[in-house]
Amino acid sequence: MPSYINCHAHTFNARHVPEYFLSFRVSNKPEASFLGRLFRTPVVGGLVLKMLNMSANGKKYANFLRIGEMKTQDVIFEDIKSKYPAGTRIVVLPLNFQFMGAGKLNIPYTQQLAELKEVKMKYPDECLPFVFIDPRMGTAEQNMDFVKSYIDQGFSGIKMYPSLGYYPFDSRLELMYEYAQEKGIPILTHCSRGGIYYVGNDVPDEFQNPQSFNPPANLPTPRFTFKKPMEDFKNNFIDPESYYEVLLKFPKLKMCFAHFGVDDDKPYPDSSTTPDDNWYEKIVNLMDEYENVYTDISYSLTQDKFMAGFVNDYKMKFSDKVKNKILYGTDYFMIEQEDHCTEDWLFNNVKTLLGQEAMDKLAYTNVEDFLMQA
Amino acid sequence: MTPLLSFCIAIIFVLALLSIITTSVCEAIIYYFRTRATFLLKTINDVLNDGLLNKNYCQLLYDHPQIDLTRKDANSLPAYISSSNFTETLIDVLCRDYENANIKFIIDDEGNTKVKELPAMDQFNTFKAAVRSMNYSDLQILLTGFIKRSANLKELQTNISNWYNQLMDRATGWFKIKIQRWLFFVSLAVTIALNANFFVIVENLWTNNQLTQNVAVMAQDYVAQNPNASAVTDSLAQKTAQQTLTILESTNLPFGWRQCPIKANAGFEHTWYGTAIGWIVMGVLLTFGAPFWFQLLSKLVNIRKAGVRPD
Repeated sequence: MPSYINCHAHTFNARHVPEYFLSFRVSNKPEASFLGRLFRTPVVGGLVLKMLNMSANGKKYANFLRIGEMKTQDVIFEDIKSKYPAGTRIVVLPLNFQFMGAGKLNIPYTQQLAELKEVKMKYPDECLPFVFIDPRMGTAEQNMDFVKSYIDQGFSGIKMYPSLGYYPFDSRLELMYEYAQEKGIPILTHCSRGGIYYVGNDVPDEFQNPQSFNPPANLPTPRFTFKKPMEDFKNNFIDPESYYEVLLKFPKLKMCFAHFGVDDDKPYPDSSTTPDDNWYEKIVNLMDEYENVYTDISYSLTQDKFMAGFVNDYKMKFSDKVKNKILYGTDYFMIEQEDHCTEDWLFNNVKTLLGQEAMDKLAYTNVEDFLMQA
Repeated sequence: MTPLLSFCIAIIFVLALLSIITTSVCEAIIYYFRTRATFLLKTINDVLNDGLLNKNYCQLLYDHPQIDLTRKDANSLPAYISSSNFTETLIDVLCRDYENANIKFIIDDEGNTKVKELPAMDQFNTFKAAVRSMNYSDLQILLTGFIKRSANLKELQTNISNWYNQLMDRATGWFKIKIQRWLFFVSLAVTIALNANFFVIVENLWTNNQLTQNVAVMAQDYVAQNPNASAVTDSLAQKTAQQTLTILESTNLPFGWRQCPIKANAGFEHTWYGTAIGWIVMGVLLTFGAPFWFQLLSKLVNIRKAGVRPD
């Protein structure tokens, strides 16, 4: 068996995020800015980390912050690489935080990609970088050209994160999807209620009346009615249901729904989950309907409740078609916030619960299929 | 020696010693909070952070091994970057950025990833191509100007070095102004910590002729033994402050909270408001800085010695 692949990891750090990045964690922007500055103050930042290290709960945040404060992406990549046997390949997913309404970036997104390219130069076989796209970066042609230029340079796929404030059916993504479908380029999209989201003060009209390249008939106006808080409204951006508009037009598109649609608040659907809220089931249905729809178990695999339900479904419920499209990924270094969730512990836990054969599928065969371009 | 001259020497000697302590504390704060290094970063960032239109070349410069390896540790920043180091690194940063943008990764028949690079060019032409490929911006204009004035790499390096040296000269001035603003607060803090009430010291020196004479003699000896006493370096700040404090104690002047407590029914200089005004006056005088007081002291000591013998 050739080396395994972790299909979901991040190497961006505190330098790549905007000033008010912590706004989605704390209530207001000045507070977010203050906290950000606090951690970066030479003496105070060190003291805060030392204090966090004193408690068990604080330790995990300290470790998360420690990685986030690592100087460059290659150092972070080397950190995750050191946790796996030599030759393990890691998909690295950058993010462009420019449009999340949290202030301006100190380092432009293209520089984050240039740094990532340097990581790939150091580790050409192990580092598999994706290129992130946000429709607000340009016109449909510009977005397609942007993605194409990086794929031509050797990037392995496309990353999307609609919670940052856009819909997957945005008309400015149409040409990019067309290109991705034609070339068999994998797209990995965030699909969990957890994680970061748009924190801007203004609510652009396109949030309520988005321009779709394949709109269904008889849409109401506005299509989505904005109601506070944004934390709830942002679910409209990432609901797997939205992807039908994309997949109806591009049925062969290789699309991976990250995190299997669950989050740590509700790690696995239960009796209280309505069909509309059951993204886990929606993703399984999409995988049944479309031959190139995948999912990964990144971050979700840290939740015992998810693993219990998922392992049971894997063994008893899922068809082979679905089983062939589930990918192994961890969401490094976000998982550092969870207790005892080291990379090797997670890997061994999945292997123990599913068995060697299933592990080989999840972490090698399926990921290879997903990453294979035309 | 006239009593008035001795009095002036004594009071200026006290101000000079307190100024050294203040400067030492200031230097220690600058050293501890890496103010000089942060200021250098800010100055370079103002010029090289072209993130809105191009890239944050300041970050790339600081990440370059040639600068990065001059850091003391991972959390520190270099407090000084020489013009040659800056020039070589900046040219390399732009060349590498241009070259990296044109690199492609290709998977060979055996599944191994290969790096396909641009045909090699000399550094001067790569730099020119890199600047041409940048989006139009102030930084691009600046760099284009260097290229226009240079016929080869050596001239380019000289032009960038000269410009950087001029920038650093100005930055040094900006830094002094910035520190000057802090100096008053540090002076006030030192004055309060030592309870150095200007009025009490003046009163003691004015009324006690023996004390004034002793302090004036100490001043004369001190100037003779420490001609560069006002030059405080950050690494020696603590030692200098301790030594100066010892000298200050040996003058037997009324410093400190025990020797000179605030009294409600005493003279103006001993009341709480008199003390507060005394601290403020002392604080303001100390902001003139140790070099100023030492130059003045040297001149007065020379007068006392009836002038320095001409060379």
